[in-house]
Amino acid sequence: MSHPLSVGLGEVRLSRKGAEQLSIFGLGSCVAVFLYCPTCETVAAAHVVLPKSPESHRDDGNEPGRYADRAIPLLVSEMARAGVPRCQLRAAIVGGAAVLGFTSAIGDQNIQAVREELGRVGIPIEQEDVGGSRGRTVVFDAAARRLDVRVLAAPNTKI
Amino acid sequence: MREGADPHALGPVLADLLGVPVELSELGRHELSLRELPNLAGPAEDPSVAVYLSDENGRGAQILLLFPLPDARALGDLMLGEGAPSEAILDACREVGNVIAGRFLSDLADRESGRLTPTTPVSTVDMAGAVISSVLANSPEGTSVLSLGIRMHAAHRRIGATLILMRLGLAP
Repeated sequence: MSHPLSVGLGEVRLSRKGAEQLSIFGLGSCVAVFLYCPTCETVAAAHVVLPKSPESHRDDGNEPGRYADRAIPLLVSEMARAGVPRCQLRAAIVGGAAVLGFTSAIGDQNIQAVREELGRVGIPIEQEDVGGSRGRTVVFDAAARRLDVRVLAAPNTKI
Repeated sequence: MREGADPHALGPVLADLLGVPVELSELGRHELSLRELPNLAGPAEDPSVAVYLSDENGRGAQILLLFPLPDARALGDLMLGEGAPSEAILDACREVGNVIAGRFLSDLADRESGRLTPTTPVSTVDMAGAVISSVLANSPEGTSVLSLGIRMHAAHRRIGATLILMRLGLAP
Protein backbone atom coordinates (compact mmCIF):
# COMPACT_ATOMS: atom_id res chain seq x y z
CA MET A 1 0.00 0.00 0.00
CA SER A 2 1.56 3.31 -1.03
CA HIS A 3 1.63 6.30 1.26
CA PRO A 4 2.55 9.89 0.51
CA LEU A 5 5.73 11.46 1.87
CA SER A 6 5.17 15.20 1.87
CA VAL A 7 7.99 17.57 0.90
CA GLY A 8 7.52 20.96 2.61
CA LEU A 9 8.82 24.38 1.58
CA GLY A 10 12.59 24.25 1.20
CA GLU A 11 12.80 20.58 2.18
CA VAL A 12 14.73 17.75 0.55
CA ARG A 13 13.43 14.18 0.95
CA LEU A 14 14.71 10.81 -0.19
CA SER A 15 12.60 7.73 -0.75
CA ARG A 16 14.11 4.28 -1.23
CA LYS A 17 10.86 2.38 -1.04
CA GLY A 18 9.02 1.70 -4.27
CA ALA A 19 5.72 1.74 -2.41
CA GLU A 20 6.16 5.38 -1.51
CA GLN A 21 4.87 8.46 -3.19
CA LEU A 22 6.55 11.85 -2.80
CA SER A 23 4.03 14.69 -2.74
CA ILE A 24 4.04 18.46 -2.77
CA PHE A 25 0.71 20.13 -2.15
CA GLY A 26 -0.20 23.60 -3.39
CA LEU A 27 2.82 24.55 -5.50
CA GLY A 28 2.72 28.14 -6.76
CA SER A 29 5.86 29.89 -7.98
CA CYS A 30 7.97 27.20 -6.27
CA VAL A 31 9.39 24.36 -8.34
CA ALA A 32 9.36 20.70 -7.35
CA VAL A 33 12.45 18.82 -8.54
CA PHE A 34 12.51 15.01 -8.53
CA LEU A 35 15.62 13.00 -9.34
CA TYR A 36 15.06 9.35 -10.09
CA CYS A 37 16.68 6.38 -11.73
CA PRO A 38 15.07 4.41 -14.58
CA THR A 39 16.12 1.09 -13.15
CA CYS A 40 15.52 1.46 -9.41
CA GLU A 41 12.90 2.95 -7.13
CA THR A 42 15.01 5.51 -5.30
CA VAL A 43 13.78 9.09 -5.66
CA ALA A 44 14.98 12.39 -4.18
CA ALA A 45 12.84 15.51 -4.19
CA ALA A 46 13.34 19.18 -3.39
CA HIS A 47 10.79 21.95 -2.92
CA VAL A 48 12.63 24.92 -4.42
CA VAL A 49 11.39 28.37 -3.37
CA LEU A 50 13.94 30.73 -4.94
CA PRO A 51 16.48 30.53 -7.76
CA LYS A 52 19.73 31.55 -6.11
CA SER A 53 21.04 31.70 -2.57
CA PRO A 54 22.13 35.18 -1.48
CA GLU A 55 25.81 35.70 -0.70
CA SER A 56 24.85 36.40 2.90
CA HIS A 57 23.09 33.05 3.19
CA ARG A 58 24.39 30.85 5.97
CA ASP A 59 23.62 27.20 5.65
CA ASP A 60 22.16 26.28 9.03
CA GLY A 61 20.80 22.96 7.79
CA ASN A 62 17.26 24.29 7.64
CA GLU A 63 15.52 24.37 4.29
CA PRO A 64 18.37 22.82 2.28
CA GLY A 65 16.11 22.77 -0.78
CA ARG A 66 15.13 26.44 -0.63
CA TYR A 67 17.50 27.65 -3.35
CA ALA A 68 17.88 25.94 -6.73
CA ASP A 69 21.66 26.43 -6.81
CA ARG A 70 22.03 24.52 -3.52
CA ALA A 71 19.14 22.07 -3.80
CA ILE A 72 20.20 20.31 -6.98
CA PRO A 73 23.78 19.48 -5.95
CA LEU A 74 22.34 18.22 -2.67
CA LEU A 75 19.83 16.00 -4.48
CA VAL A 76 22.64 14.56 -6.61
CA SER A 77 24.71 13.86 -3.52
CA GLU A 78 21.76 12.25 -1.70
CA MET A 79 21.17 9.95 -4.67
CA ALA A 80 24.88 9.10 -4.79
CA ARG A 81 24.83 8.21 -1.10
CA ALA A 82 21.85 5.97 -1.84
CA GLY A 83 23.93 4.21 -4.48
CA VAL A 84 22.59 5.81 -7.65
CA PRO A 85 25.38 7.15 -9.88
CA ARG A 86 24.91 10.51 -11.56
CA CYS A 87 24.96 8.99 -15.06
CA GLN A 88 21.72 7.15 -14.31
CA LEU A 89 19.82 10.13 -12.96
CA ARG A 90 16.78 11.61 -14.67
CA ALA A 91 14.78 14.67 -13.58
CA ALA A 92 11.16 15.69 -13.41
CA ILE A 93 10.21 19.28 -12.66
CA VAL A 94 6.84 20.88 -11.84
CA GLY A 95 5.65 24.35 -10.84
CA GLY A 96 6.87 27.89 -11.43
CA ALA A 97 3.39 29.33 -11.93
CA ALA A 98 2.31 32.96 -11.75
CA VAL A 99 -0.56 32.44 -9.33
CA LEU A 100 -0.92 36.12 -8.57
CA GLY A 101 0.29 38.20 -11.51
CA PHE A 102 3.22 39.74 -9.67
CA THR A 103 4.84 36.39 -8.92
CA SER A 104 5.47 35.55 -12.58
CA ALA A 105 9.08 36.72 -12.47
CA ILE A 106 9.96 34.44 -9.58
CA GLY A 107 8.23 31.43 -11.11
CA ASP A 108 10.10 31.97 -14.38
CA GLN A 109 13.40 32.54 -12.58
CA ASN A 110 12.91 29.34 -10.58
CA ILE A 111 12.25 27.33 -13.73
CA GLN A 112 15.28 28.79 -15.47
CA ALA A 113 17.56 28.26 -12.47
CA VAL A 114 16.47 24.64 -12.09
CA ARG A 115 17.01 23.97 -15.80
CA GLU A 116 20.47 25.58 -15.67
CA GLU A 117 21.55 23.64 -12.58
CA LEU A 118 20.32 20.36 -14.01
CA GLY A 119 22.12 21.15 -17.27
CA ARG A 120 25.28 22.03 -15.38
CA VAL A 121 25.36 18.63 -13.64
CA GLY A 122 24.33 16.82 -16.82
CA ILE A 123 20.94 15.43 -15.76
CA PRO A 124 18.28 15.28 -18.48
CA ILE A 125 14.75 16.47 -17.76
CA GLU A 126 12.42 13.68 -18.82
CA GLN A 127 9.14 14.94 -17.41
CA GLU A 128 7.94 18.48 -16.79
CA ASP A 129 4.86 20.59 -16.20
CA VAL A 130 5.92 24.18 -15.58
CA GLY A 131 4.78 27.78 -15.95
CA GLY A 132 1.20 28.90 -16.47
CA SER A 133 -0.96 30.66 -13.93
CA ARG A 134 -2.45 27.84 -11.85
CA GLY A 135 -1.30 26.27 -8.62
CA ARG A 136 -0.47 22.58 -8.70
CA THR A 137 -0.28 19.55 -6.47
CA VAL A 138 2.22 16.95 -7.60
CA VAL A 139 2.66 13.33 -6.63
CA PHE A 140 5.64 11.32 -7.83
CA ASP A 141 5.04 7.58 -7.88
CA ALA A 142 8.42 6.02 -7.09
CA ALA A 143 7.51 2.57 -8.39
CA ALA A 144 6.17 3.81 -11.73
CA ARG A 145 8.61 6.75 -11.86
CA ARG A 146 5.74 8.89 -13.04
CA LEU A 147 4.36 12.33 -12.19
CA ASP A 148 0.73 12.96 -11.34
CA VAL A 149 -0.05 16.69 -11.47
CA ARG A 150 -3.35 18.14 -10.27
CA VAL A 151 -4.76 21.63 -10.67
CA LEU A 152 -8.09 22.83 -9.31
CA ALA A 153 -10.88 21.28 -11.31
CA ALA A 154 -13.26 23.69 -13.00
CA PRO A 155 -16.08 23.25 -10.43
CA ASN A 156 -13.66 24.35 -7.72
CA THR A 157 -12.50 27.46 -9.54
CA LYS A 158 -16.10 28.55 -10.00
CA ILE A 159 -17.07 30.32 -6.81
CA MET B 1 5.12 41.56 16.02
CA ARG B 2 2.87 44.04 17.76
CA GLU B 3 1.02 45.51 14.86
CA GLY B 4 -2.47 44.61 13.78
CA ALA B 5 -5.79 46.32 14.12
CA ASP B 6 -8.39 44.99 16.48
CA PRO B 7 -10.79 43.00 14.27
CA HIS B 8 -13.74 44.03 16.45
CA ALA B 9 -13.22 47.62 15.34
CA LEU B 10 -13.74 46.56 11.73
CA GLY B 11 -17.36 45.54 12.36
CA PRO B 12 -18.88 49.00 11.84
CA VAL B 13 -16.71 49.62 8.76
CA LEU B 14 -17.87 46.38 7.14
CA ALA B 15 -21.46 47.05 8.22
CA ASP B 16 -21.36 50.25 6.16
CA LEU B 17 -20.12 48.29 3.17
CA LEU B 18 -22.51 45.35 3.52
CA GLY B 19 -25.57 47.27 4.65
CA VAL B 20 -26.26 44.95 7.60
CA PRO B 21 -24.89 44.80 11.15
CA VAL B 22 -21.58 42.93 11.22
CA GLU B 23 -19.86 41.49 14.25
CA LEU B 24 -16.26 40.48 13.77
CA SER B 25 -14.46 38.07 16.06
CA GLU B 26 -10.87 36.96 16.19
CA LEU B 27 -10.38 33.21 16.30
CA GLY B 28 -6.66 33.21 16.86
CA ARG B 29 -3.52 35.27 16.39
CA HIS B 30 -0.16 33.65 15.74
CA GLU B 31 3.34 34.77 14.96
CA LEU B 32 4.86 32.30 12.55
CA SER B 33 7.99 31.38 10.71
CA LEU B 34 7.69 31.48 6.93
CA ARG B 35 7.86 27.71 6.57
CA GLU B 36 4.80 27.22 8.78
CA LEU B 37 2.60 29.24 6.48
CA PRO B 38 1.50 27.07 3.55
CA ASN B 39 -0.89 24.99 5.66
CA LEU B 40 -2.07 27.92 7.70
CA ALA B 41 -5.43 28.39 6.03
CA GLY B 42 -6.23 24.68 5.97
CA PRO B 43 -4.85 22.00 3.68
CA ALA B 44 -2.54 23.54 1.07
CA GLU B 45 -4.58 22.04 -1.77
CA ASP B 46 -7.93 23.50 -0.66
CA PRO B 47 -9.46 26.05 -3.03
CA SER B 48 -9.61 29.59 -1.67
CA VAL B 49 -10.29 33.10 -2.82
CA ALA B 50 -7.16 35.15 -2.17
CA VAL B 51 -6.97 38.94 -1.97
CA TYR B 52 -3.52 40.51 -1.84
CA LEU B 53 -2.28 44.05 -1.20
CA SER B 54 1.08 45.51 -0.39
CA ASP B 55 2.47 48.90 0.49
CA GLU B 56 2.90 51.01 -2.61
CA ASN B 57 5.90 52.75 -1.07
CA GLY B 58 7.83 49.51 -0.89
CA ARG B 59 8.22 49.47 2.88
CA GLY B 60 7.78 45.72 3.06
CA ALA B 61 4.21 45.44 4.34
CA GLN B 62 2.03 42.85 2.63
CA ILE B 63 -1.44 41.56 3.45
CA LEU B 64 -3.06 38.39 2.17
CA LEU B 65 -6.66 37.55 2.96
CA LEU B 66 -7.86 34.01 2.23
CA PHE B 67 -11.51 33.00 2.11
CA PRO B 68 -12.23 29.28 1.84
CA LEU B 69 -14.52 28.79 -1.16
CA PRO B 70 -17.73 28.15 0.85
CA ASP B 71 -17.08 31.32 2.87
CA ALA B 72 -16.48 33.34 -0.31
CA ARG B 73 -19.81 32.08 -1.63
CA ALA B 74 -21.51 33.05 1.64
CA LEU B 75 -20.01 36.52 1.37
CA GLY B 76 -21.28 36.76 -2.21
CA ASP B 77 -24.76 35.67 -1.10
CA LEU B 78 -24.71 38.33 1.58
CA MET B 79 -23.54 41.18 -0.65
CA LEU B 80 -25.10 40.26 -3.98
CA GLY B 81 -27.90 37.80 -3.30
CA GLU B 82 -27.77 34.08 -3.94
CA GLY B 83 -26.51 32.76 -7.26
CA ALA B 84 -24.25 35.68 -8.17
CA PRO B 85 -21.68 34.92 -10.88
CA SER B 86 -18.13 34.03 -9.87
CA GLU B 87 -16.63 37.26 -11.15
CA ALA B 88 -19.04 39.33 -9.07
CA ILE B 89 -18.24 37.26 -5.97
CA LEU B 90 -14.54 37.77 -6.62
CA ASP B 91 -15.18 41.52 -6.80
CA ALA B 92 -17.06 41.36 -3.50
CA CYS B 93 -14.19 39.51 -1.81
CA ARG B 94 -11.75 42.04 -3.24
CA GLU B 95 -13.83 44.90 -1.85
CA VAL B 96 -14.04 43.39 1.64
CA GLY B 97 -10.37 42.46 1.50
CA ASN B 98 -9.53 46.03 0.54
CA VAL B 99 -11.42 47.41 3.54
CA ILE B 100 -9.88 44.97 6.01
CA ALA B 101 -6.36 45.22 4.64
CA GLY B 102 -6.56 49.01 4.35
CA ARG B 103 -7.52 49.22 8.00
CA PHE B 104 -4.59 47.07 9.04
CA LEU B 105 -2.12 49.06 6.96
CA SER B 106 -3.51 52.30 8.36
CA ASP B 107 -3.11 50.99 11.92
CA LEU B 108 0.44 49.96 11.14
CA ALA B 109 1.22 53.39 9.68
CA ASP B 110 -0.13 55.07 12.81
CA ARG B 111 2.13 52.98 15.02
CA GLU B 112 5.16 53.85 12.94
CA SER B 113 4.21 57.48 12.40
CA GLY B 114 4.67 56.83 8.74
CA ARG B 115 2.62 56.51 5.63
CA LEU B 116 1.62 53.24 4.05
CA THR B 117 -0.30 53.40 0.81
CA PRO B 118 -2.02 50.19 -0.17
CA THR B 119 -1.78 49.00 -3.76
CA THR B 120 -4.88 48.08 -5.71
CA PRO B 121 -5.92 44.64 -4.48
CA VAL B 122 -5.36 41.65 -6.74
CA SER B 123 -7.34 38.46 -6.33
CA THR B 124 -7.49 34.92 -7.57
CA VAL B 125 -9.12 31.56 -6.93
CA ASP B 126 -6.58 28.83 -6.41
CA MET B 127 -5.06 26.38 -3.97
CA ALA B 128 -4.39 28.16 -0.67
CA GLY B 129 -0.86 26.77 -0.40
CA ALA B 130 0.01 27.86 -3.94
CA VAL B 131 -1.00 31.43 -3.20
CA ILE B 132 0.71 31.60 0.19
CA SER B 133 3.96 30.08 -1.01
CA SER B 134 4.02 32.44 -4.01
CA VAL B 135 3.66 35.47 -1.74
CA LEU B 136 6.36 34.08 0.54
CA ALA B 137 8.74 33.63 -2.35
CA ASN B 138 8.21 37.30 -3.12
CA SER B 139 8.99 38.33 0.47
CA PRO B 140 12.50 39.43 1.42
CA GLU B 141 14.52 37.52 4.00
CA GLY B 142 13.77 38.82 7.47
CA THR B 143 10.05 39.12 6.87
CA SER B 144 8.01 38.38 9.96
CA VAL B 145 4.49 37.07 9.82
CA LEU B 146 1.34 37.51 11.86
CA SER B 147 -1.74 35.46 11.07
CA LEU B 148 -5.26 36.08 12.30
CA GLY B 149 -8.25 33.84 11.95
CA ILE B 150 -11.31 36.05 11.71
CA ARG B 151 -15.02 35.37 11.52
CA MET B 152 -17.77 37.71 10.42
CA HIS B 153 -21.28 37.27 11.75
CA ALA B 154 -23.83 39.03 9.58
CA ALA B 155 -27.47 38.35 8.68
CA HIS B 156 -27.34 34.87 10.25
CA ARG B 157 -24.28 33.96 8.22
CA ARG B 158 -20.84 33.13 9.52
CA ILE B 159 -17.99 33.88 7.16
CA GLY B 160 -14.47 32.82 8.04
CA ALA B 161 -11.18 34.04 6.62
CA THR B 162 -7.49 33.99 7.40
CA LEU B 163 -5.58 37.25 7.33
CA ILE B 164 -1.81 37.09 6.95
CA LEU B 165 0.18 40.23 7.64
CA MET B 166 3.82 40.20 6.52
CA ARG B 167 6.23 42.87 7.57
CA LEU B 168 9.89 43.34 6.85
CA GLY B 169 12.36 44.25 9.52
CA LEU B 170 10.44 43.67 12.73
CA ALA B 171 11.47 40.83 14.93
CA PRO B 172 8.49 38.71 16.02
